[in-house]
Amino acid sequence: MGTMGEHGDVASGLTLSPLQEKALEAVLIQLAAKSSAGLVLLATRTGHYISMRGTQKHVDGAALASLVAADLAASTQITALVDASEVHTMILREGERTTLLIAEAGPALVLLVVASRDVPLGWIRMLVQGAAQRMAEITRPAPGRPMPALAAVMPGGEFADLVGQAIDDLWNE
Amino acid sequence: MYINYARREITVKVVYYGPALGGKTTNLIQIHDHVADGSRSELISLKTAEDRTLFFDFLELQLGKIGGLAPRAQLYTVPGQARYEASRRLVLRGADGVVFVGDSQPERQQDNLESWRDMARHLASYGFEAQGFPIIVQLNKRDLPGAVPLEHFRRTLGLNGEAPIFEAVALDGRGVRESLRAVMERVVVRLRREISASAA
Repeated sequence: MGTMGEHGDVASGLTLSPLQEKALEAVLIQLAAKSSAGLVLLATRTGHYISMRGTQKHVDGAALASLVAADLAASTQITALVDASEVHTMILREGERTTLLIAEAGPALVLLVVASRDVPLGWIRMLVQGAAQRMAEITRPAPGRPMPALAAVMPGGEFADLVGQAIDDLWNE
Repeated sequence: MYINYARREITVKVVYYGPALGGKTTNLIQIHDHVADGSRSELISLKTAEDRTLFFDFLELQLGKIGGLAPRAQLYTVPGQARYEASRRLVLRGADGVVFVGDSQPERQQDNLESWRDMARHLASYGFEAQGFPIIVQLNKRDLPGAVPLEHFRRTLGLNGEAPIFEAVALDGRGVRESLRAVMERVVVRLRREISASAA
C-alpha cells in the first residue's frame, strides 16, 4: 500500500473507472444470459463485492463476495502446499441440482457462477474461462487508459471526521 | 480497498486481530446488533463445531452518503487459535486497517505479545510496517478482576506512550464503537495521504 499506480490503481486494491465498470457489466450480463445461470457474481480477490446478475434474487452480495474470495484464497493455498508448481484457476462444486464454479479473473478479480445441472459443464466452463479472460484484460493496467483523478472524487480533509460521525449516527444504543 | 468511480463507492477492509478468545468476534456481534438492518450485511461466521472461529467472521457496514461518496467498511475477524496461522495471513490480505483486540487477563499477556508479533510479521509479508499502518489497539475485558494495568499492557506490546489504547468490555458493547470509529478515521486519513502523494 502507499503508492498509486500510474493508471489510478492503489497498490493495495482495485480502482475501477466508469468505462471499466461498464465493460465488466457487459461481460457479466452476457455470461449470465449464455449460461442461464441462477447467479453470477463478480468480486475482488480481497472480497469486495462488485456486481451480481442472474435470476436468483435476495442474495447478500457483500457476504457472498467475502466467502467466494476466501474460498479461492484457501484453495490457492491448498494448491501451494500440495504442489507448488501447479496453478489451479477454477474451483468446481457439483450438487444434485446446481453446479458452482469459482474462477480467477486475472490477479484482481474472482468470478462465481451458479448454474443448473441441466446446463452442460463443458459449456459453462468454456463460458467462464472466456469471461474471466476478458475481465482480466479489462482490469489490466495499460498506458493510455485514463482514470479520473482520485483527489477529484474524494472530499477534503474533513472526510475522516465525517466518516467517524457516520459511524456514531449508525449506532443504536 | 476497492474504488468504483461510476458508483462513487469506496470500500475499505478492516481486520480484527488478536489472541484466541480475546473478543474479536464479540466486537463484530456488538456492531451487528447496534446497527440497523438496512445499513449492514448479515454477520457471516465460519465456525468450528465448538463455536470457535475457523476462518473468519464478516460484516459489512454501509455508511450512507458522505460528500457524494458511498463509503463502506468490510469488517473481518481472524481465527485466534495458533494452528490457524495460514488462515490469519489470508484474511489479512488487502487489509486497510487493523483493530488489535488484546486480553486484560494477566495470564494472557504472553498470548497478546505473540499475536501482536504474528500480526506484524504477516503485515510485513504484505509489505506493510506495523508503524504507519492504521492499527488501533483495544484492550478488552476491562471489567475482569485482576485486569492488567494499561501501562503493563503497553509495555508488553512495546507501544510508545502516545499510542492510544481503547479500553473495552466488548460483551457489554463498551469501547466497541469507539474502536471502530478510530480505525476508520485512521484508514481514511491514510487514504487521503496516499491520494495527495499520488497527485503531487
